[in-house]
Amino acid sequence: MTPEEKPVRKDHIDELFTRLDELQKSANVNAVFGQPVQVGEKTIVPIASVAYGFGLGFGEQEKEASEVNVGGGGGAGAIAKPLGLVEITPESTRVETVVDEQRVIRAGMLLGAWSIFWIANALIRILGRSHRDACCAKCE
Amino acid sequence: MPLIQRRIVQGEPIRVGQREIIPEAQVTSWLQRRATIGTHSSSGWGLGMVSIRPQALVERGPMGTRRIPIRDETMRMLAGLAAGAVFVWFLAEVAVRLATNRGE
Repeated sequence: MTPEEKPVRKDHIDELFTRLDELQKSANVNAVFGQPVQVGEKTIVPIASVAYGFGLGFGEQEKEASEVNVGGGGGAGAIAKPLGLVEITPESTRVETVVDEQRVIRAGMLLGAWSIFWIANALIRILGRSHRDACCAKCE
Repeated sequence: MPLIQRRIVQGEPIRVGQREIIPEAQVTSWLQRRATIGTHSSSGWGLGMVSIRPQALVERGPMGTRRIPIRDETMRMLAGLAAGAVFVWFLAEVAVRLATNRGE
């Protein structure tokens, strides 16, 4: 590697780190509070929660003095979930939240199955032990 | 630089009559990055995650300033169900222990 190439490599790394910082700092209020909508005297603002993840990477290798292999890539994913809406009237401001009923019902069903499992498990252990004890008493 | 950063950000105020409503959100972010510079090769990578959650509305008006919190009701319900699951397991274990100790 020639001494002139070192700053170029450092530039690539600086650029990568700058991009990552930009992605991290790009998060702002506008992502979760929507544009206000005027409905008669009311102003409605939709609200949501947002999460996203990202990954970036690059690599370069000098094969010969004149040839350098360079590669890189990145990926990202995001999820947004509605939380409700803000209702602003000339008199008051109210937050109306929404419940994800399907998610709560699924979790409730899971809790039901979990409860049945642990109650059955407890009964088997209690009754199994008392049956064993009775059996041992007979043998003695 | 801390591994997990948490900050509160405020948005543009919404003006309705004499009142001003300022949206407020909590931004939680995590960033991990690394670079290696060798004699004949160099590489770098970075991973990050950002979560933005509406936190509250700050209402300013002639009556003063008040803060209206924004709660995630779904998460509260799921947390309640999770607590219920732990409680069921705990009750079952206590029942087994009590029954076992009484038998001895």
